[in-house]
Amino acid sequence: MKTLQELCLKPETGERFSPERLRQIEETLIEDHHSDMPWYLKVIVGIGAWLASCFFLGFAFALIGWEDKHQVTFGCIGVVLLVVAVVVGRQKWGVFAGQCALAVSLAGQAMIYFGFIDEQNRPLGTAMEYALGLAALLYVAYPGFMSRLMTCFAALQVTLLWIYTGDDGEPFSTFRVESDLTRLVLLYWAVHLVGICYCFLRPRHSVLLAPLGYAFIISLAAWQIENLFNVWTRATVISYSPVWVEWTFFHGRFIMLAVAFFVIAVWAAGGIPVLREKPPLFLGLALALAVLVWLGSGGVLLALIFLLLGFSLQNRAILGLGLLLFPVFVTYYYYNLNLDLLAKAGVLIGSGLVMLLLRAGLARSVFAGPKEVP
Amino acid sequence: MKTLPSPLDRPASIPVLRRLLAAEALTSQEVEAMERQVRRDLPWKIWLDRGLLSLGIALILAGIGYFFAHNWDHLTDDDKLGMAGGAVLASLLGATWVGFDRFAGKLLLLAACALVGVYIAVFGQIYQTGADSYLLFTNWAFLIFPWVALSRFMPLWMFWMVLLNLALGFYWPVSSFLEGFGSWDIFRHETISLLLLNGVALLLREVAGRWPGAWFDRGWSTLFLMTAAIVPASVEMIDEILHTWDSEAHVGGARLVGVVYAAIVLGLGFYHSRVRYSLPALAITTLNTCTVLTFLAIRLLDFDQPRFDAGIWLFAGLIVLGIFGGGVFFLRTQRLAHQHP
Repeated sequence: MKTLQELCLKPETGERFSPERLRQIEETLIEDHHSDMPWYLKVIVGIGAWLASCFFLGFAFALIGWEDKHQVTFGCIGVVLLVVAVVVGRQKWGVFAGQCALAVSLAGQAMIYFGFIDEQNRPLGTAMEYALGLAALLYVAYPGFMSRLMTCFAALQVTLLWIYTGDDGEPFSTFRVESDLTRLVLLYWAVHLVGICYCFLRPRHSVLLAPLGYAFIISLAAWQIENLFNVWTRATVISYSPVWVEWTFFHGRFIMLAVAFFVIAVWAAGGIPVLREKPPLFLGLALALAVLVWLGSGGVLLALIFLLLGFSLQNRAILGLGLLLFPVFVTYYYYNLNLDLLAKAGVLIGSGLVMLLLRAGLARSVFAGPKEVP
Repeated sequence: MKTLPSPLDRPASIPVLRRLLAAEALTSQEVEAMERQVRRDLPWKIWLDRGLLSLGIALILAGIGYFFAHNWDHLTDDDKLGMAGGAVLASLLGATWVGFDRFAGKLLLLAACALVGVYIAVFGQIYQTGADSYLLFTNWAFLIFPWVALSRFMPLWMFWMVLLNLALGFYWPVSSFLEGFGSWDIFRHETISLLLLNGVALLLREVAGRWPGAWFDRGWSTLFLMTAAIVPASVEMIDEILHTWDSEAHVGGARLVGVVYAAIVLGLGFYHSRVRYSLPALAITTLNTCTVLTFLAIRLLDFDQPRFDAGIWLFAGLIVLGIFGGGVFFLRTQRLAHQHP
């Protein structure tokens, strides 16, 4: 691995860094190191701050009582709490105050939902509008990483609920028309994938949009896990004609995952120039992805995207999520194969052998080291 | 005089580059170009190689498992025992062949130790021994002890400790000594015995670590054992505090446990701040202490009283803020005191 010094002195652009700039970078790194806190200290700070905030909120609830007649008062207190949280959160009063502000901000948002949403009139639609509005507002007003991540995640999940449930009449009782639902689901899935690529692949986007990117990642992982537990399963069957349109709609999410994986793989390898340089390699990757789509292993592809993204960005959080989800989705896939135990044993051993053959093939061709010059 | 290495001499990483971009120490073009170089140097080959190898082996092993699950009812008892014993033997021979000093050999030895438990379980199923769970774990720990002692492999020692903890945990509920005792007394015996077991192990590990020929120098096992010792102690302390809500309970026992708990916490704090500095160990001790103190505050404020008003919530919040704030202040002071200039 190259050091920062080496990267600065032999940059790809060809322009060497001046000693002043090197000193400036060094000072920034030292400052960064000193202000950084070990993760376990942050955990202790977080536990204390959140616990204390719970008691303070208990105090607020106990002051006005729990009756529904105070619903709007709750909302107003929520607005006040949110403003206080934003003001405190913007100050540099240390991690402890920051965590308290975050907890108060989240409680304030919950009180706003409870206080101002009319349960009889489009509750989900209104909740979604509030969630998106609050997420956008707080993204600008409250520049804390966790605040941005949590409000964006909440907004994404409330929108998902609105997409699946609809909001035409009585809450949670009517469902959206199937064809509309399919289109909305595919569109929303695409928004997640494009969002992840947009927020993480370019460094200048990542500086501002990393929390939103994480929210997309967690929301997508949660959505896929919700699918495992049949949270969003519908009883009706969608029928399209001709058959290939139906197949495409049914496998639409897997296809998008495969495309996203391919895009990220090309980017990680070095971009379009590398794609032009080694077309057979990427053709092989595309074929492998097509096989995975054909086999219907959607969740596995999602975990693979997280693994690839986490590894190529040296991001432990995303990599860890990928490592956690990969065995879950692989196990789920094989467990749900409609085969008896003996056939499953054959499929598993066959898949294992394919992996080992693939490894041997890659070692001989793609990863074979350059021949030594005698 | 020693000088600390410059942060510029550390390996470059993408998160660091992006932090420098956020601090405006680098431009986005510079970061993009540097990231490309860093990404090229990542150990792609090793990752893909190990990933495919692990996945391939895992899938094949799962397939073999499914195969035996399919044919389990058709196997004779001798076949079942033979397979379980054969797996132990195969792992052990593999470890010997690879070498106990190599990581793969140590992993195979760990697998052999784990498979001994499978063998005991299969044996118990075939002969319907009706033995209690604690006997299974005790026998398991007893049988693998020679391999553990010879392995010079700390994860295997920790695995052995987990077996002992499980044996002890399952022992008290069925113990003839505690016949007629209530569940609260059994729980008290469990927490105290786990504290003693893990505490003694921690002490032995610390003493052995100072020997000249000690083969372990990584501190994670200390943290593992310390957590295993202090968590039962804290749970016992919290249990004693909450038990005083019961009008028939005696407060004297709680006081005694409180004194012992305070001595343990102060001892650990002194040892890890003055004798052998370890911030993670201090953090574990502090978190446990803060949790116990929070429960004590809740108990003293008496949320259970009928005349329950809003002020108690506010007061409790302030106390919790004070407890955890004090804990974090202590840890930050220790960190600053032991930081290089």
